[in-house]
Amino acid sequence: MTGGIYWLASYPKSGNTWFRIFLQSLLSSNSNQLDINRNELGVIAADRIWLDNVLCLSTSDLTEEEIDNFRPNIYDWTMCDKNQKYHKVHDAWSLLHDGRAILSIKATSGVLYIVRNPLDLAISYASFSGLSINQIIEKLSNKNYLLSDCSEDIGHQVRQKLSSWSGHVLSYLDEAATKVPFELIRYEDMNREQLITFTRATQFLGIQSDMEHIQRALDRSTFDILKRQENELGFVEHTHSTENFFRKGMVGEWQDILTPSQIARIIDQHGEVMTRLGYLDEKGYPTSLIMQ
Amino acid sequence: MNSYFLFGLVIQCEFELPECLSIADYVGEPEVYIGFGHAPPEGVYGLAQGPFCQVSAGIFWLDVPGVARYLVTGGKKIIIDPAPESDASSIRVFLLEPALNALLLQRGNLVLRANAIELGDSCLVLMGESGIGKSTIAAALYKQSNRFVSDGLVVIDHDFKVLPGPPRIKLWAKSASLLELPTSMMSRLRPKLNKYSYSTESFMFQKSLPVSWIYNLKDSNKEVFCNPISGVKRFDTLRFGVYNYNCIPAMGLQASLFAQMMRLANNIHMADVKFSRHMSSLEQIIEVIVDDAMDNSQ
Repeated sequence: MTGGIYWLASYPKSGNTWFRIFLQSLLSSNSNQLDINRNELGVIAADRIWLDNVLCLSTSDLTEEEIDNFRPNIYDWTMCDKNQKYHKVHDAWSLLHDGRAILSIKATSGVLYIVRNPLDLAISYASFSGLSINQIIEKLSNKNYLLSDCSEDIGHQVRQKLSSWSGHVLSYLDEAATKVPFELIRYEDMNREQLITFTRATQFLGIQSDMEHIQRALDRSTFDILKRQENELGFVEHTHSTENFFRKGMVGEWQDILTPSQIARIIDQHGEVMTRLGYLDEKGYPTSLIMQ
Repeated sequence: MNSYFLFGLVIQCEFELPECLSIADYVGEPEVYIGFGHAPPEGVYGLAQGPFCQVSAGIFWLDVPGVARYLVTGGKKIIIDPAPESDASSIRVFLLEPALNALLLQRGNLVLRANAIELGDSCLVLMGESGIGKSTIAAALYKQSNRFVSDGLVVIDHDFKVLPGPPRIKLWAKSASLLELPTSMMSRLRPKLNKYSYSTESFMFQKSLPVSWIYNLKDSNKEVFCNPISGVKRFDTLRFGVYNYNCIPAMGLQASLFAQMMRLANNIHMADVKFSRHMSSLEQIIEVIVDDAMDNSQ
């Protein structure tokens, strides 16, 4: 154990929370009891309380640029703790002006990148955020898209630079993957080839586990179970814009929901990266991977 | 030399603290001295609490790169070593919170990251994570003619009394707008921060106020409601609210602070106030808090 951080990285609404709950279920000593609101792994990389505690001051008194500059130091600091850590992150992989990676190469044990077809992601993100699908399509193509923009007010997360959906994917595929140990899993494979995909991911994360335990952890964190728990107990990561965080979780919903023009816009903006990920074929047509 | 009255202390400072209540022609011995000096960049003052902070019994060293290094000793002295590119208002921001917090802890006080406002003859304390709306609610209560006691740091002495802080509330532009307070009349907290200093009426000669209620503000997806906190959760809630709690063990203050928190938790009314910022208006939140406080007056 190096005591570093495995980043569970993704653009929002790509299956990251599901994976984190599966992982918690797999690693939990009390394997029979799943509590979706109990995060025994690590908080999100942008968690303000984490940053405040390590800096010993209130980040609400810092500028966003100052916070960005301190973030690698904060993650490096976690190396003092010898336990392996798993933290969700939505920031794109990016460098500061001085050349340091915001997620700190030194602190990074590896990056598990979870990617999802943007045609489905757009529907899920629209429901989650309370915005229209067209507004989300705009955001997916916005190279300057920020999460938790804190210029007027603050929330429980600091600002995160996401870039466009394509920019986000490429920042990890072309940058992070050349600097740190890297593994990519597709949301669609997490659904259709569950055991193989989750086993590959856990092996990458250095977790010693057999397929029987992985299957049991998967059985305890099915979408139906997560949804039922959210209905009964609520979920801390919900937003005010939506009733449920865990919605449908299905693959290929875009075929029923998106209009031809919305599909065309997304493919026009992200076709190249979608092809690279196997979501589109060489002619630009959707592959069976993203169909119902 | 400038003299100020802050958190029940007479403070002498080499430079001006416009946010604080000044004492003209003070001739006595100050209880605290603040001045510029050398604070070694490498720290080496004790156990590291993070990449920029070191702590031991009676010593607190904090580096805020680009602003200043702060060395706080013995509950009596704060030495500031400014960064070349720094500005006076930024230096004061980290002086008046983390550095002063360390000094007040060294003097044996309990310090919460909270806001305090007078209600009747007592003090109501609002806790909760950054951005939840503590300062906004405190400013709204102040606008309703309740006297303001403290913002950011709430300092509670051994008699459970809240000591008055600088007479100002730190407000984000959005909160100021919600409260219909023009930011053109306020000074920015720091040059590049969209956060403002809203000056409140100062009351130097008022006694410190006994704390009667602590409300822990929490985010929820429902309309505002209030739940009393009971049992061991009262202690946990206070611990979560202690400013820089992770520094407490290295400061050697764990046992005394634990005892203070236990005594406080047993002597006041505590409740969670949960609300959706999208579903609940400021007026509704205040009404729920004030009604609950009235129902639970000692």
